[in-house]
Amino acid sequence: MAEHADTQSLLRLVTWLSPAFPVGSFSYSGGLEQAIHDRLVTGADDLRLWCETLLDHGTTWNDALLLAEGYRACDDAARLIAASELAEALAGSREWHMETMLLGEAFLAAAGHWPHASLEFPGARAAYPVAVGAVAGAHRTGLEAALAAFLNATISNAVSVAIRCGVTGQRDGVGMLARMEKTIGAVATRATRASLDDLGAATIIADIASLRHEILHSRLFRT
Amino acid sequence: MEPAAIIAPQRARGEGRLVAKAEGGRTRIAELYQEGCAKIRLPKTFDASMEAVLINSSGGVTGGDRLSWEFRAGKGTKLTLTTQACEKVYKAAAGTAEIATRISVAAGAHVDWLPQETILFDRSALSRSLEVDLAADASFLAVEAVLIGRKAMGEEVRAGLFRDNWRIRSGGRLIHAENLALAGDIAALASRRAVLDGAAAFATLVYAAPDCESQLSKLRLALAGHALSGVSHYDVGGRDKIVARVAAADGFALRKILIPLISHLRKDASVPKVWTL
Repeated sequence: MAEHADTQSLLRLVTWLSPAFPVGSFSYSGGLEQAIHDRLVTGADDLRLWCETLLDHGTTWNDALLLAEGYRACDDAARLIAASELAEALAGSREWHMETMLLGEAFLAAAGHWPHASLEFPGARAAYPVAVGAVAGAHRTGLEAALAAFLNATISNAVSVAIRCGVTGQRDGVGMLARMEKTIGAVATRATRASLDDLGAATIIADIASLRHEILHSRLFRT
Repeated sequence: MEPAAIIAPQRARGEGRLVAKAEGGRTRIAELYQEGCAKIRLPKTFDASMEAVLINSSGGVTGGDRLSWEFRAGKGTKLTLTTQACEKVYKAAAGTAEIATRISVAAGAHVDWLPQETILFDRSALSRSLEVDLAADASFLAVEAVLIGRKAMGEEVRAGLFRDNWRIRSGGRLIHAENLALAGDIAALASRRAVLDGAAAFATLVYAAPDCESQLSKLRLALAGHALSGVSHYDVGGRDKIVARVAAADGFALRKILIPLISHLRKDASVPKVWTL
C-alpha cells in the first residue's frame, strides 16, 4: 500500500468522514453523554483516557476491525453481509445498534454519489464501519488511510460531544486531537494487520453507559 | 515417596454431552455422555423441567486444559444448565485453557444457561466460547458472571488473559455476539473508567424469548438502584432480545443484583439450588 493516499483518495476520505457528510453523526454520542452525566468523564484528560480505552480495548477497536473486513471483502457480497450481521450482533445496546445501523444506511445513501458497480448491500443496509470499509475498498482509497480517517472522525465526534456537554472547551478539545494523533495512527496500523479473530473489548462500563442512556431524562444526543 | 517434581504436569480433558427429549409431558434424557473431568448430574426436579449440574472434577482450570460441553434441548423440552461450583481459573504455567460450550434449542423448547461465577486468579489464561443455536420459536436465557480475583480473600490479579466469545443464532441468523477480552495488566485495565472503574465483578445477561417487551420494565425496576447496570430490549435480525450488564464491587454484591433478575426471567421460579447466597 502507498504510504500516502493519493489526492483523489484523500479528498474522498475527508469528505466521507467529515462531520458535514449527511449521515447525522453529530446527533450520536455512543454513550458518552451518559458517561459525562455520570461524571465518569469530567474534563479533557478524562475524555482522552476514555477515548484511548475505547480505541485500544473497546468498541472503537472492534469497529476498526469491522471496517478492515468491509474493505477487504468489498467484492464479496456474502462476506460483506456476514461482517455487517456480526457488527449488528456485537452492538451491545439498543442505542448502539440503532446508531451503527442508521449511520450505515445514511452513509451508503450519501456515498451513492460516488457510484461503484459491484457494491450492493441487501436493502441498502449495513452497519456503519462495514459500510465505510466497503465503500473505501471499492474505491481503493488505501485501508490504512481509511482506518485513520474513520478513527479520527470517531474521536473528533467525541470531542464535539464533550464540548457541547460543556466538559471541555474548543481549545482543549483540539489539543486532545493533536495529542491523540500518534495513538490513532498506531491503532490504524495495527488494524491493517489484524482480522476478525482479534475482535475483543473490555469496556464494560462504556457498554453500561450506552444501556443507561436510553432512560436518561434530559438529553442532547440520540445515543 | 516419589518426589512430586518429576511428574509431568497433568492437562485436564473433559467432554460432556446431554440430549434432552420431551416424553409424557416431562423433559427426559435421550443421551448422556461424560468423559474425563466433565461430569453431569441430574438432580430430581419437581416439575416438568430438567436441571443439569455440570461438574469439572479436576477442581478448576489451568493452562492447557480442554473442556467441551454440548447440550441439545429437543422439541418442547425445558432445560436448566448450571455448575456445581464457581469455575476457578488458576495460574497457568504454560498455555491457555479452553472451554467450549455448544447449546441447541429446538422448537418450543427453553434453555437457561446459568453457570456459577468464573473466578480469574493471577496469571490465569482462559479462552472460552459459547455457541447457541435457537430454533425460530425457541427461547433462551444466559447469565455469565466473572470475578477478577476474590477481594475478600485478599487475592489480587495483576496479569492474565480472559477471552469469552459468544455467538447466538436464531433460525441460523446471528442475533447476539460478545467478544470480551481482558488481557495483559488486568488490574490496570480494570481500574480504567470505561472498563470497570475499579469494580472486580461483572455479568452479562442475554434473554431471547417472545415476551422480551413485557419483561423490560420489571428488569429496569430491579436494576433501578444500581448505578453500574443497564438493560435494553431491541431486535436484531427480526428477533427480540434483552441484554443487561452489571458491574459490582465483588461477587457477593453481584449475586444480590443477579438473583432477582434470574428469578424474574425464570417466571419467579428460584435460581438453581446450587446457587445459594
